[in-house]
Amino acid sequence: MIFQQLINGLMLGANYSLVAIGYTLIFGVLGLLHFAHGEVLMAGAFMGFYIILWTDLPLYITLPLTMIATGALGIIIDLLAIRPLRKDFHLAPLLSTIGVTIILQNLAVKLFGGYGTRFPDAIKDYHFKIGSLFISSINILTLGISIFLMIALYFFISKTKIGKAMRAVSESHLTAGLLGVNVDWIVLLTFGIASALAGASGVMIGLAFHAISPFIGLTFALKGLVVMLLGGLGNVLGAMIGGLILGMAEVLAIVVLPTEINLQDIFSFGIMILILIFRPTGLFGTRITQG
Amino acid sequence: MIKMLSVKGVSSGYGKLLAIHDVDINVKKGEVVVLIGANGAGKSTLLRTISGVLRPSKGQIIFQGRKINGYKPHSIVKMGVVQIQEGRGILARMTVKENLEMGAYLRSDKGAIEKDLVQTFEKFPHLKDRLSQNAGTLSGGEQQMLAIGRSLMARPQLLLMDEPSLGLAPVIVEFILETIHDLREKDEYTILLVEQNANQALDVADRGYVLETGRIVIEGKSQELRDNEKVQRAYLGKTIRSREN
Ligand SMILES: Nc1ncnc2c1ncn2[C@@H]1O[C@H](COP(=O)(O)OP(=O)(O)OP(=O)(O)O)[C@@H](O)[C@H]1O
Ligand SMILES: [Mg+2]
Repeated sequence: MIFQQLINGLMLGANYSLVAIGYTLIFGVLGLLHFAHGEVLMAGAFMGFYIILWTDLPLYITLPLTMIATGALGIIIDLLAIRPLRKDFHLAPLLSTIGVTIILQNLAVKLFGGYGTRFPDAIKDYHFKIGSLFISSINILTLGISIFLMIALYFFISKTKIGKAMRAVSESHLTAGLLGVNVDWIVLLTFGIASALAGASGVMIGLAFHAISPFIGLTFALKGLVVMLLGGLGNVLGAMIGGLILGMAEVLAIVVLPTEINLQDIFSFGIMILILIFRPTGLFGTRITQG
Repeated sequence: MIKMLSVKGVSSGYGKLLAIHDVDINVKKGEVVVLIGANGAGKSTLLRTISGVLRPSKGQIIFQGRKINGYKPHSIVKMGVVQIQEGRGILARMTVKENLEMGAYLRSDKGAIEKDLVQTFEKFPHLKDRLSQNAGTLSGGEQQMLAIGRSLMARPQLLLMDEPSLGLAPVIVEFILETIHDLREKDEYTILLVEQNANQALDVADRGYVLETGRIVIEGKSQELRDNEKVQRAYLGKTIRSREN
C-alpha cells in the first residue's frame, strides 16, 4: 500500500519538479517570478487535449508538439509582456505576468468552459499486479518521461555551450554580455525551455488524472512555487529533487493522516512557511544553477 | 602605426547623469595605453561605453575603421574588443574550466581553443590545478589571472582592462603588470588599461591619459606623464589604495 502510494507520489512530484524547474530557470536568468507559468501548463494540457481529440496522433508525437507550442507561447509572453517592461521598476514585469495569468485563464474559460473536461485516453492504462500491488502503466510512463526530461535538461545546462551561457546569464547579464553572449536571446530560449517543460507536464497531468480544467494551472503553479523554495531559488537540481520530495510527502501525509478534509495542501503550504522561516535559501542553497 | 581605436568627443553616463564629457582618446595597434584618474573620475564609464554596456549620448567610437557605438556588448566582443570588468567579473558558480570555455564562447575552432587553453595554463600554472573548482572559491589573485586568461581565450584584437590590480597584494600586482608587459611584448596584444597604481602602470604603458571629473586633462607618452608635475603630485605620490570590488 505504502509502496503503491510512493509511486503515485513520485509521479505527482515529478510533475511538480517540471513546473518548479521552469520557475527556477526563469528566476535564474531574470530574477523574475513568472506568475503565468501555471497557465502555460494549463494551456499545454488543452493543446494536448485537442491534438489527441482531433488528430489521434500517438503520445510520442503529441507530447513534443505540445512542448513546441507551449514553448512558443512562453517566448511570446516574454516578448510581449515582459521584455518591454524589463527596464522599468522591478515590480512591473511581475505585475505584467499576473496580467497574463488573468488573460490566459479567462480565455480558457471562454473557449473550453469553466468545468472540468475529460481528458482522452491517448494510451491504454494497464494495471500491473505485483504481489498485492496495483501499479498503473500511465503513472510509470509519466514518471519515466518526467525523469527523462529532467536528465536531458540537466545535461543541457551542465554540458552544452548554450546551457553554460544560460548559467552565465543567470549569474550576471553584464559578465555574460562581455563574454559575447546574446543575453536577450538566452532569456528567450529560457522562456521557451521552461514553457515546453510546463506543457509536457500539462499533458501528463491530463493523462494521469483523466481530467483538466482552466484552473489546474493555479494548483500546480503554487506547488511549483513551494518546490522552487524548497530547492533554492534558481537551483535546477534542487527543484528536481524538491519536487519528488514534496510529491512523496504529500501522498504519505494522506496515508498517515487519513481525514475527511484536504490535508494535503495544508501540509504543502505548511512546509513552504517552515522553509521560509527556517531555511529561506531552500534545502540545497540558492542559485547554484548547476547543482 | 595603425590606428585601432579612436574615441571622438564622447559623452556618456547613467540615465541623464553624464559621467564623462567630450572625451577623445586613441589607441594604436600594439600599444599599451593607460588611463589614470581618481575614484569616480569616469574611467570605468569610458571602458563600459567602448564595450557597449553604455551608449554614448554624444560622439563616436571607431574601431578598426568601423563605428561601433550603438552595438550591444556581444556584437562588440565579436568584432574583437574584449573588456575585463572592474572587480574581475568571474562566474563564481561555474568552474574554472567553464569560465575559460566561456571566454571562447564565440569561437568554434575547437582545435585552436584547446591550444589556447594549454597556453593559458603556461601563463597561469595556478589555474591548471584548479580546473574543476568553482571559480568563486579562488583567491583574489587567482580570480584576476582567470579573468585575464578568460579574456585571452576570445583572441581579442583590443583588450580593455579595468583595474586588474584592484585589491591585490603587492607581489600579485607585480605579477599582473608583468603579465600585461608580456602580453604586449611577446604576444603583441593591444591594451587599454585602467590603473590606480599609476607608477607601475606607466612602466608597462607607452602612453597615457589622465581623466579628471569626466574630462581628459593631460595626455602624453609615459615618460612625459611621469615628468608632469601635476601627475607627480596627484597620482605618483605614495598613495596606497586598497579597496574591495
Ligand atoms: N551604475 C551607475 N549608476 C549611476 N552612476 C554611476 C554608476 N556607476 C558609476 N556612476 C557614477 O559615475 C561617475 C564615474 O564613475 P566610474 O565608475 O566611471 O569611476 P571610476 O573612474 O571608474 O572610479 P573608480 O576608480 O572608483 O573605479 C561617478 O560619479 C559614479 O558615481
Ligand atoms: Mg572604475
